[in-house]
Amino acid sequence: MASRAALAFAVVATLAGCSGDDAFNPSVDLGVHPTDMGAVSDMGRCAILDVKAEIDPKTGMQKTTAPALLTAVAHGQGGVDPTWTVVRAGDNTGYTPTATDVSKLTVQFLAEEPGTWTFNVDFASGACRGSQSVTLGNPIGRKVLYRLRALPPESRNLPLTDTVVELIGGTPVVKDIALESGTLISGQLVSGGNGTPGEVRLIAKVGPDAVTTTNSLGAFTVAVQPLGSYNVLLIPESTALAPHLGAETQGAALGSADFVVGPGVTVTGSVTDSSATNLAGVRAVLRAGPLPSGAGTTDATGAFTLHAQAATNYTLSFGSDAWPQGSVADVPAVGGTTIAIQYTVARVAVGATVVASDGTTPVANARVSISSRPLGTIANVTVAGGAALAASGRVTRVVHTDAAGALPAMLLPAGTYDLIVEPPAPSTDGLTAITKVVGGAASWTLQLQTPITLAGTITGDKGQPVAAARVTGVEMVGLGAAPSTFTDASGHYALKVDRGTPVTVWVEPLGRDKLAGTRLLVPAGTTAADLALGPGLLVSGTVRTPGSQPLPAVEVEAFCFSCGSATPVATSITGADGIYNLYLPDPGELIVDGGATD
Amino acid sequence: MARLLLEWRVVNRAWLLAPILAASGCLFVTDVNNPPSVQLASLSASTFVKGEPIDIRVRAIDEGADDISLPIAFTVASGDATPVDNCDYLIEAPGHSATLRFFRAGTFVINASTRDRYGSPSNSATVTVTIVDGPPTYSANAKPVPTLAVNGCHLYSAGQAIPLRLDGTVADVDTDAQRDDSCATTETLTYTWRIVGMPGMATAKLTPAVDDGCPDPDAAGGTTLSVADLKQQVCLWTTSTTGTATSMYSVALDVSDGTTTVASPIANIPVAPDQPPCITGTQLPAGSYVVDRTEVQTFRVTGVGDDLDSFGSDKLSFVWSIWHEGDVDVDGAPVWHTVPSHSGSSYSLDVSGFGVGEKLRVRVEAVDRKGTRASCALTADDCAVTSCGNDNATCNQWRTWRLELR
Repeated sequence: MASRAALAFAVVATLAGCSGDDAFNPSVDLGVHPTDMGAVSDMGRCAILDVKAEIDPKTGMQKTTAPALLTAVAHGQGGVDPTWTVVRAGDNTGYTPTATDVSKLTVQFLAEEPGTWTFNVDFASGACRGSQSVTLGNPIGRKVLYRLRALPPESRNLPLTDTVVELIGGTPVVKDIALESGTLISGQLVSGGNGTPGEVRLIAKVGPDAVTTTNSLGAFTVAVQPLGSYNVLLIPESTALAPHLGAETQGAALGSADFVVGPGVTVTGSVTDSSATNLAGVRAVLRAGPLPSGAGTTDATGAFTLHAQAATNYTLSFGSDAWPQGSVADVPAVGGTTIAIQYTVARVAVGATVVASDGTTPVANARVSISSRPLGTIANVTVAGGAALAASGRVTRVVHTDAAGALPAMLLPAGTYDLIVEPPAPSTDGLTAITKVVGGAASWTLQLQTPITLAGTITGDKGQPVAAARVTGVEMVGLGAAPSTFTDASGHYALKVDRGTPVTVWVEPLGRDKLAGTRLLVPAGTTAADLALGPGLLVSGTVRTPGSQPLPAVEVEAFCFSCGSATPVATSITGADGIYNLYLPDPGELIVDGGATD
Repeated sequence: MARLLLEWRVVNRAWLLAPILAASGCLFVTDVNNPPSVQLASLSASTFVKGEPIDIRVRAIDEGADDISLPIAFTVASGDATPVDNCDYLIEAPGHSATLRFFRAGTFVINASTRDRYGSPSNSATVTVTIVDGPPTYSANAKPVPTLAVNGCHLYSAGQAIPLRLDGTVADVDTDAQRDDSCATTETLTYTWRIVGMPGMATAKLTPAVDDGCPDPDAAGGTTLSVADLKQQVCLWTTSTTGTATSMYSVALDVSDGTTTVASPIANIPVAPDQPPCITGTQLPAGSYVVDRTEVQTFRVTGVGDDLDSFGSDKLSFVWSIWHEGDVDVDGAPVWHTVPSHSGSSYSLDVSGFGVGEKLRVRVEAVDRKGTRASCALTADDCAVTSCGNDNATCNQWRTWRLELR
């Protein structure tokens, strides 16, 4: 048996794939609520609770997993006639622990299920309510790390706060989020001793960036985490100044930092076509990771100037409404750098008219996104007189139809083009995807298509229909429509979506169902999609101000660390009591196969 | 003839002496029994509240007897047209003093009489009392109050459902007046909320609150609403279209004990026209940004103040739109493209479809259940509106991000 247990824990450790500590300590939240204190402030000081799990004879330490006998002690403060309850997060049932003596100041409760168990004690007199929680893990539960991000109201000038929570299969969690007051940085973006408007982006090494824009005099205020590390990125509005990326600096030190920008290095260049004709209106920029250069736009002589922080590893991007977008890597920007761009790609005239789904009615003010597939080399780029570099590129352009439904005259290189045509809202027609091949001069008629109905049924973890769940179809191209509806009593939904776009179906069930939301990407043209929701684990808590006051109307987003998700898995907005509730996918339990003899 | 001496101390039947008196010619009698009499002490009042104790004191007089030992009999008769029922009254501790309680309103005649030990009946002393209903009474300063906070202008909003409760208590001294359990309860308090006044154009209604909230605008209701429990909150559904000025809704609570109905003081609830929603926070903060055109850009509204719909409410929606620099109509006015069917509070835009160096603007506008759109100039980055939705602070119904793609 010992070897079997060792195998089980080895598998747990191996499959969890998380940085979770095997010697997981039960998290304990002191839950003396200021609101409660306020309500009974004349009753004396609030009770302080001490909750402990029984000692695990194997480790000699408190048990961290269920089942466990929990002992709670209310420390005096003159409380008389205590009344106890025990509640497990996500479970509405209240339990009564057993008093160990006549004073009833010490009670015990056998917590058989994993989760956050909260002891509450009220007194007839002498002290106000106290509560404290202990979280017991599931010994065979999978572990997934989540990051909860609280977005406090802008007026509070508080930094975004990230809180990490480990979700263990089958274990609801109570996790309060204490908003940090942060360090308020009031500064001024300065050039040559004068304030200058622009953007201030403090790029956090860990956690959320702090971003703001200045006023016209360059003044700004932004809150940062005092212990966080930031790279300061300053982007002036003026094209005569260069953006600046500073060294890593601790948040607390930013208060005395200078936010100075200057012209940087000047990069000049020219853009011509294959016949060496100067091209006006071509835009050129440099970017090295988060650091952009200033923008340069060619004048009538085909010349441009831009300003950049000195560096050797920029990627040059260029393009215009009439010419494809191209790029080349490893472009230096040092004093006196010159760049010569010569388009080599040939173009042909293409005209187009957008008509409605009836095939004849022209559609004014339709939005058409034109994207070519990669065109190969479109230009030669010479940097500082060196060898010509081949710049690959493609056409990416957004144009609109005129009153007659016609697009502006275009010159396009030969190639295959993916067109997304969107009628102006409201319209009985929908976003339409069209592929065109350009081999020579052409005139297109782009006919819109009507939307389709995407329908299906949402079921729960036991196959039950899920009613009143919000279903949103997020379209992945074009402007990004996101029609939304709710499931009926049979769990059925029907959404009108555009047939020309893949759709991500988001399902957000009500909290009462204790199910986790889900997302499913369906190909363009899909008309049926049934989705099954897995069990949800409740992660809840109170978002509090730095002064410990519950804060309503705060959005809390849950990102799955372990899954590498960059988009929130679920969001919640705190209620009037500052409480948020998120149902996250239950990681489940490990299945340990001990073999045929097991 | 010898004199006949009657030793009877008290002659009860004097006529029996007639033959003797005729035969003897003379009669000596020491005492003749006189009937007792009773008197009722005056009452402190002639009108009493139902259930109120009425103390009766009776003075019985009988010659040569111990007055106290005379048993007093009380009876109650109707003093009006309503017959007396056994459940209508209760006589407690009858004796020379007794306490009577009456359990219905009306006029009653209380009779008291006695008999001496020889059975001689006394006179019947009577007193008439009038029993009246004890009306419900409100505690001091009790009145209906809204339990919903007012907006930043200290008003409520047209179209809003306002929960109300009575701030105070109701008592009725005779609500428990009952002879015993075999008799029916004489009173049950009923509570009826009533719209006393509303603006001329309004069609307000009252509905029961659910969990002290007003979730269902389609709930059945009317201008009056009876509730079983005084603690039950009710919802006043105001009308969304009541003009442009602040108007007043008036509500009162009627409490009845079955006989008497008493109205509470009237609560006047000022209601102003709907205020536009205010975007109180965005992430990123609205402003001008240089963004990487290879990255999807996400914009979020992180807070909205509105008098009708709180942030997170399904009834609060958002209109997202895009403007691509240079996209103008023949008059040079910017042509914004509304993102169709996107009412959520966050929006992601794939900017890779635009060219390098291009400039875009992304705008979000908050719209409450009324659906009223802002009317600022399209060129305004922020649409400042007058509103009570943000504690009367600066209010922008729309906000704009300026993006430059580099």
